Amino acid sequence: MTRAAGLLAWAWVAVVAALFLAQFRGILPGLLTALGVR
Amino acid sequence: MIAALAMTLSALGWGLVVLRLTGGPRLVHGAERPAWALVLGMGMLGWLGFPAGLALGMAPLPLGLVVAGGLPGLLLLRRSDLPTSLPDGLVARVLLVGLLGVAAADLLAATVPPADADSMAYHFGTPKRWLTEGSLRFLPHAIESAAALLLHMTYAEALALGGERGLTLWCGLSAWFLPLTALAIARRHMAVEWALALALAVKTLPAAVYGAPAGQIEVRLAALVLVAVFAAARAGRDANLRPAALAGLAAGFCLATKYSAVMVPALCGLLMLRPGPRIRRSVIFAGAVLLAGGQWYAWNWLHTGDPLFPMLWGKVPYLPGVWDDAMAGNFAAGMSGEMVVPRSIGWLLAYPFKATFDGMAGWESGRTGFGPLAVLLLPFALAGAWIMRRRAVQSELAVALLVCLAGYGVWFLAGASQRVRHFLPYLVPGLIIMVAAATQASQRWRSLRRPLAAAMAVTLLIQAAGLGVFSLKHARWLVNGQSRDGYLAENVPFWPVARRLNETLAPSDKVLTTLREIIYLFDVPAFYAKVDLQSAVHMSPHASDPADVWRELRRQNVTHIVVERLPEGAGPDDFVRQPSGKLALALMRVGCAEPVDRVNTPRDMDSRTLRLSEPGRFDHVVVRLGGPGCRLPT
Repeated sequence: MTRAAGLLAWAWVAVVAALFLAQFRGILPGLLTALGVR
Repeated sequence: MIAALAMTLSALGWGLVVLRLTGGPRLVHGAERPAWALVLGMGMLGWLGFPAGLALGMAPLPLGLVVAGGLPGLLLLRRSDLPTSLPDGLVARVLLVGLLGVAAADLLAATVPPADADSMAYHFGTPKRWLTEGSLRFLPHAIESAAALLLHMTYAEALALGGERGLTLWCGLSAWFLPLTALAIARRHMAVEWALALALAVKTLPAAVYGAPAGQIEVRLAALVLVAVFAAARAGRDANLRPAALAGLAAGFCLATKYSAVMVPALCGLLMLRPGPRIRRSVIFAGAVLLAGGQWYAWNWLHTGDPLFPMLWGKVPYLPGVWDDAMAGNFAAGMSGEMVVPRSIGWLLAYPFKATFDGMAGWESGRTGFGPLAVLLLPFALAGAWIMRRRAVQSELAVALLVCLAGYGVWFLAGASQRVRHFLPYLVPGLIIMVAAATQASQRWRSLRRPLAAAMAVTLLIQAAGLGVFSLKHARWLVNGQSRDGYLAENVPFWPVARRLNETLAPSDKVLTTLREIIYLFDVPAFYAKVDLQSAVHMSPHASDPADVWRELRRQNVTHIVVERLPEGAGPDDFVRQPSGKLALALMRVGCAEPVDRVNTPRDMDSRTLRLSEPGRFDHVVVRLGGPGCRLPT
């Protein structure tokens, strides 16, 4: 039970973080400009 | 630097006095005492500035006396109020280094010239006007001049005593009152590592990063709300009445800070009805709220007839000439843009998730949002709440949670704006509660420890990266030794308009403009004529009668109009594109105005941090009023 809860918790963290970061893909060009990469 | 430090020490002193005189000794413990004192003292600085400014004028001496008055309060500081050693353990040390890094970034941000549009328009623009005029002259400009302006008074003090650098440093320093208070309260409910991580997460929330060195209110209001909510939660279960006065003062300072905080005293006041001396406790709370929070509402009522000017138009009798139906229509149309989605139960539940993962542009959640922490913590916190369910009734966290949830509901269903940063004051107590519950869950179920730590670590890494990108332009300013003019030219598109008029107009001139992004930057008198916020000069979208226009402009002593945001090379025929252009055109046709200058600038930019698109260019035409052929009465 606790092992399953732990795995679920890891999956939740991974999915939420990925979904959160995905919304910023549109600003990638501006981000690269700000960082001086291009 | 000295002025900002003096104000911080003064806030601490005034706050310690307030705590001593009210229920402080019964409510606050350990590190909470200096943290709460800073927040309450910030409120006192703003509160005392109002009568000082009214009676003695808005000048360095009276405002300096307010600041100096708080310094003797430092004698109340006890050795036990200050930390005597650093926390043990690698994690705590790493988090402390992180906090120092954020402090360095904040210091950097506070040393660059201000560029945030809202700060230019009124957070800094209004205090600068008070100081320029030397008095608290009432100006019936909705939201931006006739509002609840407690914190703007502290900005006036910083500007009067320390100039522009003093102002931005005070904003940078006072933005730390929120994470410090969160840390102090959290420390009662969790291990020091988690409390430090929470403070770091709060300080690097995009909504906090965005608002800190600028004059944005929410990050400072959030500190006041945090103290008000926990003070009320504790006072409501205390048979002694002095804590109710403390909670009332904190809630009153919230009230005096922003119209949208009007529900804070109401929600905290409900906690005064818990078992005990309900009536006396409520009366004392309400009296303290009115004392601390009433001054700006009385000021508005005195000058307009509406304490919540102009929210109660049509519901309370107004003084003549202040507002009219046409302006009420303009104002309602302007505010309608703040409501992006319907106020429904469905959206009430969906908003936090939608705003976290795929926010609407009008919410501004992409750049001034809350990061992923609240959603990441959700299942952990729910598990912790299940464990704590029997103890919850006794817990101040449960009471604070109810206040925050009610605050969220009222804000979403009845508030004037859905911008995500406006919810910051209710989010921070919510985060404290969620982390406290989540850590309880991880203590019960060891398998949750690492994923919970990972959730916090991921949040801190993402938010630190955001802060790093935000700080790049500040670092460039420092490294390149850029001038103020150069920085403003890069970051405030319409700065050349203010620079040109500062160079060419005389102090006796006065320019009318709708360019809110540069109001603070004018050194010559300026009249900010936003279409939907003021009626002293009607910026009618329809053709204007020259005699009416002339009379209103002369009454405001306006000598020049900026016809803004025109295509490059535009002539008078293009003036009809802008309300200001219609005013100018009406007067030009009767020989009472003529174009005298033209300034070319970049267009509005999407983001100062990320250059998402190459901006085009605008022309702005300066029109001088009067002329030898003008037959309108002077």
